[in-house]
Parts: sequence; structure tokens; C-alpha cells
Amino acid sequence: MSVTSTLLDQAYNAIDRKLFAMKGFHHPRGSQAAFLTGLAHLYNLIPYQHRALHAGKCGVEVEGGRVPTSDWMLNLQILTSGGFH
Amino acid sequence: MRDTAHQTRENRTITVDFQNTATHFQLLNDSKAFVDFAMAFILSLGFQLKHKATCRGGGCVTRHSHYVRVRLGSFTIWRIPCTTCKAVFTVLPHFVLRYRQMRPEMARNALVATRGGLSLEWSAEICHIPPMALYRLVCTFGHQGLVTMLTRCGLPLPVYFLADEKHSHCLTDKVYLPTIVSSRVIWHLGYSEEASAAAFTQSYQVFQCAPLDQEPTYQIKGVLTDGFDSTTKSLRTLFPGARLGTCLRHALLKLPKKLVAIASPVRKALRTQFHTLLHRARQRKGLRVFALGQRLRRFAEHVTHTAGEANGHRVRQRFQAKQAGWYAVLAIP
Repeated sequence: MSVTSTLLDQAYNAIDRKLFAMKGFHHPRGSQAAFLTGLAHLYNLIPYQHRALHAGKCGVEVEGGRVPTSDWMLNLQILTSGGFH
Repeated sequence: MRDTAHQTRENRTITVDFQNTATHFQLLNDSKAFVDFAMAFILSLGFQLKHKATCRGGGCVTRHSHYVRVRLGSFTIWRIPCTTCKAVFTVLPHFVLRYRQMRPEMARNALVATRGGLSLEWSAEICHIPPMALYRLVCTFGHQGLVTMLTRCGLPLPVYFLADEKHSHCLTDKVYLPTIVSSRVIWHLGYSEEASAAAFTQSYQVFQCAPLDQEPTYQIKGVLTDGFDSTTKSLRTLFPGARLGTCLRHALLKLPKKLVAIASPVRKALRTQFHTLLHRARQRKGLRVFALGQRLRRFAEHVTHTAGEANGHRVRQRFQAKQAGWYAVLAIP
């Protein structure tokens, strides 16, 4: 069990910058939940490091998951397709 | 009288990598080869098609129909049904986005820009697309649940995770984003207009219910929070058997705020001593909880002696309120 919430803060910082920059898009009947989930998908699937230990890997791969292809955009398309089980 | 009830169709789109556009157009002329190629791709992924609940299997897919997407230059999209349950799957080639005119290469550049920190407006500007199109594209991906996507990647459901709520703004209103993270992966990112325990329970419930389809026996062992009351209450309601720990970094950050009317060097020195205390408690191999309880008592006495009775009382009260969460963190190896 983690003893500090540093990793959560890192995740939130990445998303918070985006939300701060897009305040004009909010409106009471918007798709906030879908947009946030979409941002979370991007956070999980886009490779985030160019150097160091996990170079070129996305969060899912770093945690031991398998992604369908080496192309993150294609992975995003495949994994968010509704026809797979 | 016309029936106005709207029946929502289930999304059964499957994206297939045809390597290049030429291969796709070549396969369009041969129904059997097209279906075989699509099925071989799905098998190579290790995924299964989402048939209807009543489908017992044993059937196969065949060519059903196709339609032409005029906005993509009269591009043909094929649909393949299961011969047993009649569920129809729409085969989208990799170079087409569902219901979008935007090309994936363009979307890729815009998403990299937006993920990298540019605003939606700037990301859209450099890719020559409307900002709203980029917003809707992100929303499209967001219609698929996080837990579903992550378990498809073979990630085990998290036994321990971090839960926290952050606030943001929707125009002038303050809104909250209940978040669940395990290591480098976000498992839940909700949206709530209130900071109440009921609102957070509703949001975290989405995460609680999602894994039940895949693993009915799924049990959470521990959750780390920052100690915010509404979060703690909602998690205790949803995961009654889980240990609720409190973040030690938050403990460290909050301590100086309890020490008032003393000189800054004294406050800094006490914070450093508290940091050392927590660090040593973590380093112990056995009896960590016992060691922490004893050291917290001694530290509170030390604060009373150094910074006065009022400060010591505040620190002691905070320790009493939070120590159960710290014990939970240290009790689990």
C-alpha cells in the first residue's frame, strides 16, 4: 500500500492544467464526465517519457499491461471501440 | 399513434488495422477475404466480439451490408453480423474515426498537443480544426469506461489504490473530480458538483460496479486518502472491508499550519523532526504501528515543551484524529 498520494497528484496535475486552460468549454449541460474520461484515456495510453527507464511506454505498459499495437493512436481507437468484449 | 420511445443501439464498432489504405480497398472486392482478415486481426489481439447476452456462440460472422460515408469521399464501411445472435458489428478501418470527418493523423497531432499541455484552442489551431471538434473527439473516447479499457489491456484490478478529490471550476461554480489512481494508471475520474459524502459515493460507485462483470469476487484491501471527511465516508460506505489509510505526505504538509505564533525556524525544525519520525516509522520492519504511536505521543509532548501548550494541544488533537489512518498505512507491508 502506498504511503503518500504523490502519484495521484501527478495524474491530477496533468489533467488540471487542461481543465484550467479550457474553462470556456464548460457549460451546465456539457459532457464533462465523458470529457474527463477521455482525458484519462489519453493519460493512460499516450507514452509519457522519452528518456529514462520507461522510454516510449504508456502508463498501461509501465504497469504491466499489454497494448494491441505499438501505435498509441491505433491503441486508443481499438481499445475504445464498443464492439470488443 | 407513433411510438416516440427512442431505442438506443449498442455501440458494436470494431476498429481493424488494415496496415494501409490499399489493402483495405483491395479487400472490399472480396467479401470472404475481408471477413477473414477482420477476424484474424481480432484473434491476434486476443479480444472477443461483443455478442448479444443470449448468444451461445457457435455461429460465425458474415457480410451483412455496407454504407457509403459521403463526407469521407464516398468511403465504404462494411457491417458484419453474427449468424447466431444477429448482432451487427461495424468494421472501421484504422484510418477512419467513428462519426468523425477528421483523419486519425490530424487527431493524433491535436491530441499530442493537448496532452502535452497546450490548450484545446491552441491544439486545434495548429492542426487547423475547430476547437469544439477536438473537445468532441476527446468526449467520444470517453464514452468507453476506464475499467473496461484497462482490463482489456490485461491489467489486474487494483487491490490497493489512491483516492482523492480535486476541485476545478465549471464557469463560476466550484466542481469536484473524485479520482482513483493505482501507480501510473487512472482507474476512475468522476465529476461532481457537490463535495458531500453522498455525491462522492455516487461517483466512486461507478468504479465499484464496473469490475463486477469481469470479477464478481473482486475485493479491495486498502485505500489511501488525504483524510477528507466526505471521501473517507463515501469509501467506507462502498468498500466496508477495506483499510482506509491517510497519506503521510499530507500529514507532513498540514503540521506547520497547526503551529501558530512561533518563530519560523522553530516551526521548520519541528516539521523536520516530524518528517524524521515518519521516515523512521516506515523503516522499521516490525511493530511499526506500536513504534509510531509511542513516537507521536513523545512528539506532541515535545511540541508542548517547545512551542507552548496551545500548539501542543492542537497537534495532539490532530494526531488523535488522523492516527488511525496512519496506522492503517503502516500496518500493511
